[in-house]
Amino acid sequence: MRLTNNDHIPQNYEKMEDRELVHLFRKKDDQLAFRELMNRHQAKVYSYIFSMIQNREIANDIFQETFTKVITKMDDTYNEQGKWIAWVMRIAHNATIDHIRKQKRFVDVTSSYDDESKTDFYERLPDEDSIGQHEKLELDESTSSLLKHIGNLPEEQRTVVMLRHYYEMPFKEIAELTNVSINTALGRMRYALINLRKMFDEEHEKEQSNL
Amino acid sequence: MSKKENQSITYIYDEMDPSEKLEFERDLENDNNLLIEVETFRKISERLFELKAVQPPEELYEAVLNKAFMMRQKQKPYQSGRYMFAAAALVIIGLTSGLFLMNSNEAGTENETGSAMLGTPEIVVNSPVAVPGLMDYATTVSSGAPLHTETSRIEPWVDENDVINFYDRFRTTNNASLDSMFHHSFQKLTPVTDPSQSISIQRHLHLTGGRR
Repeated sequence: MRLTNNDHIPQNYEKMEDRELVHLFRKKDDQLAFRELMNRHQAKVYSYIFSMIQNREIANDIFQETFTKVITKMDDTYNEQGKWIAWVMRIAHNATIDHIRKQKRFVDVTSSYDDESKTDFYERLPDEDSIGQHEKLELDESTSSLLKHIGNLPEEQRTVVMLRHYYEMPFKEIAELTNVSINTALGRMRYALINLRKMFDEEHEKEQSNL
Repeated sequence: MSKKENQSITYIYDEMDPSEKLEFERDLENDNNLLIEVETFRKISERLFELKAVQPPEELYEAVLNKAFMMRQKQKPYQSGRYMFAAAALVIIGLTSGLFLMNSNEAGTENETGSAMLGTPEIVVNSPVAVPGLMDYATTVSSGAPLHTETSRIEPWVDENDVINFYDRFRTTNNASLDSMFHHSFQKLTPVTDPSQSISIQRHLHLTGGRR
């Protein structure tokens, strides 16, 4: 059955808890239940991926990869004891981190001097303002400014910030998701806030000097 | 990073135990530096809460749903096939183990009979011809020869002459011998002459089975 946007999700689905919807989808292959689940959580999942990658096209690919995995692995790897969305976020997080690590490897391999373009690795690095122009247009100014700063944080700190703020995930769950102790997760959050404060201050100073 | 340093984070994100929170607030009153740190973190975190969720493009949402459902449909035959294989495997395992158990039971019976024979290489046969129906229960015996029971299982027993018997004690006793035993048992009883002594006599009366 192909669902379109016009498919109406019954009201009782909206009142159901995630686990009930998951059960309906798993046992009865109820696609409306899955649609409702996606409606509830897609923005948070997408926001997390986008804030980590800061590129629409790649974020789209990872988002698609995440939900394809979710739907194909739901019967095998998801046990209904845990929160469904925490399981989805784990898949999204792993896919995102995999991509970031692949990118890093790519950068390492090509970090030497390029004869053809007569540039070295540092010249080929993307601009500091890493969010593309068309992405900037779609987001409001404060969000894109915040995302830019968050994008400049080290990957580990960025992960904790995004999971806490976009997903409102408790630090205990963040620690489990990222395979670190709760103290490490809290420490990363602390350093992230300290770094963000510096960035906000610098930005403020720039704005003042421009005036 | 010490636990103490992380307390300002757990405090602003409201993940502290009530008792821990109370203690931390007491510390905040006495430590200005800690208070400044907490307020700074709170301001930054409030700014972060302004982050709006980024919606995926509409066409992506549809594409994801359709692709995912198509993949699930593809998975279906595989899954049903998998269940079929599992059921078939279960039936085969059940049948095999059933056959195995049956065979092992048969082998066990044979072994038991065989082991009975091993301990008694020389067996004296007592098969009184006069006893009707005895051949049904008796056993053909010769040294080392296999023992075959025709109908039911017979427990061997040794009589007063140390002869091993392979037939049922009860069945071998024909009606005539039973009658004679019964008759003789009554002969052992003596008539009561003095009824006043009957109680004491009864107390000492023991009914026992007669010898065959």
